[in-house]
Amino acid sequence: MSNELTTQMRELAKKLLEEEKVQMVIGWEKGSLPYHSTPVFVTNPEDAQKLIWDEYCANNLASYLLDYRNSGMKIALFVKGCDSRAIVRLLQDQQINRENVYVIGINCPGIKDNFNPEKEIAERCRDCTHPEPVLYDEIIGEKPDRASDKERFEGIEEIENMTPDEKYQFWQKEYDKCIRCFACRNVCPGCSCRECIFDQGQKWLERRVVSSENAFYHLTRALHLAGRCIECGECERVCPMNIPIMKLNKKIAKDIDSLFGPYEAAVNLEEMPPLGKYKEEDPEEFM
Amino acid sequence: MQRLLEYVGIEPERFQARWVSGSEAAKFAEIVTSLTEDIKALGPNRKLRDDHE
Amino acid sequence: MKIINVEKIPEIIKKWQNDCEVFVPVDNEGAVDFIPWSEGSKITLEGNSLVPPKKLFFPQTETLYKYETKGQSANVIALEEKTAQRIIFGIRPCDLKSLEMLDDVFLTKGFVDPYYKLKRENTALVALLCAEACDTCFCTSMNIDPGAASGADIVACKSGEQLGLQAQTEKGEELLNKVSQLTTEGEIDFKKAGNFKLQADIEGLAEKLKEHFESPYWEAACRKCIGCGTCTYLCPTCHCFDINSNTRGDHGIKTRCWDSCMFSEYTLMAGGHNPRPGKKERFRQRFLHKLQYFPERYNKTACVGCGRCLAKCPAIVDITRIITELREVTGIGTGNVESVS
Repeated sequence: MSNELTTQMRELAKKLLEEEKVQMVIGWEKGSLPYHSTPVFVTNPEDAQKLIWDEYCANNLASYLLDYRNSGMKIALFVKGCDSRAIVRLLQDQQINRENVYVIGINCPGIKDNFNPEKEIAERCRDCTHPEPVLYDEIIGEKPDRASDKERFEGIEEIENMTPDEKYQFWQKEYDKCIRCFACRNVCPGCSCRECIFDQGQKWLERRVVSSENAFYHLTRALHLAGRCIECGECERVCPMNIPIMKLNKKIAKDIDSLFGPYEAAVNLEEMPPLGKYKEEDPEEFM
Repeated sequence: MQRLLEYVGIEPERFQARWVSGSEAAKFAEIVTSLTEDIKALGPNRKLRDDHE
Repeated sequence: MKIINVEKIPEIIKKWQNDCEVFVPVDNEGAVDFIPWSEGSKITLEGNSLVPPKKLFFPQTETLYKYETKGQSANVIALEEKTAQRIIFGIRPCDLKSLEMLDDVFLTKGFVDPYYKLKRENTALVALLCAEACDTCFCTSMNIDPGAASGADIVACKSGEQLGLQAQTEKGEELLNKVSQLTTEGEIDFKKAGNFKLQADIEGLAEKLKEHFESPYWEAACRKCIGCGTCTYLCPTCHCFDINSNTRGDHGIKTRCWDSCMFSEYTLMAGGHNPRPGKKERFRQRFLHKLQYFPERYNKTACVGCGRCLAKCPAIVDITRIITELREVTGIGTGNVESVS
């Protein structure tokens, strides 16, 4: 199936570029190792043959649209289910113009983790709720026949049930691993601030990599995504130190669920994040 | 925010947000007094401390 | 050569730890790191550490001195120098080579960094030769021999359940004498790693790159980079840092922290100007520093082929591919790279 998809991708990209419907197609190409599939930016129709689809096409390509947000370029890109929610994220956050992106959805059978290639399926795909893209101009691939084998908020209650000191120890140990490479922030389609709070001359976050600064970084980053995290798991995938970043993001998503009613971010373009709109019946837990 | 603090092992009472209008002086004083009492009861925070103080 | 069963390694380390601290590679939930050995530490003898041992000589965050102010005067308080001896056990040939480059930066050309120097002098190195290459290793392309460890005090090599130890310096000799009751004399049948999956040829590249600073290649190559600092922080040779004052009222500390050319604040000037304003300039800086500027200044390529950067890059920016592509860009041909099946 993947070979068929690869052929389809190449043909599509070639056509879009030849007909000048777009100036760039973002997809994946093969890297040097079998489990390395890496983003590729195709601008010439001849280069469309670089494109591939396989189980290691991990990168969410939508975040790259932020690099071109002011370019006026028309760009086509391939999106898996989770990546398509990133497009909705960017649209709702008014980072991109719908008419400047041509979205080619891929019905996603679930992918593997290129940092842990021996695993049968990437951890983040196990609780996937949207293998079929939620937004696209065109869709390829067969409808995936798969069910998640993990509950959306699995593992969160376990931490909630710890004593305060246990929780503190648990997170302290995780923050201590952090080397503050900012990969989790940079890869995130929700992190679209032109100037990030963490890049403001150490006004907020010092350069020192110590527990207290690391804790501030992680909590602030997670909170800035409250209600907007699309739960794609890219942050956790790219963390070189294996910090369970999604356990912070999912905790906030779970709270938002319980406070504002069931909500999954960026599934429906019309449905704005609960924290981004006002309703009279909004809870007033703190008022 | 309180829920997140609780999740990482910090007493949630240490962070409180209230809506007070500029004309509600009495309410403001009342809230600050009660917040101060909450914090006093909790004692000094030893968590999330920077070693370099 | 002294021989010991790998199971007995902790006993050696325990002996050594009587009068110094011993850092060993330990798997911390999937991230192998050099940490002080303690009872029960599981030493990783396969593969390499994720975090390079450079942090033991050039820590990510290092306090340089304290200060206090009184009215118009300020007082600098020097920190107590830690002179305790240390041993790093299990440093790989590639990382050993990276220390030569850090030595170049911190100890030569008339600049001697006392903080680095002290740590370097206080540390004995027990190198572990490589019997197997990781998928992402390409040290041989950087002219490093995975079966040699110049600069180490002791060279260790593993074959089956046996570990061979050979002193290369007086310091190493002394250390082996301390544990002579635990070892036996013998030889070991060690075969160094071959069959590297990745290759790159840097021959003649440094001189040529000068003319290609403005090449459109950089614009195209940088696209997939997400601008995080993973590659620079996991790189054993990257050494850029930033010095800051952390003031609390009338006192504070001066700290030195790793910096990364990938960050928007890197080379940002006080007035707001940055000569490297975007992804392209930063990306180019990283590769030209490794492949051109460092060779120009120190006559060494600032890459040891450990492969950490490409193993952990969120977008799999592959330095071996970049080198190969740069050969084409500069027109010096594909170079001597055997085709790898």
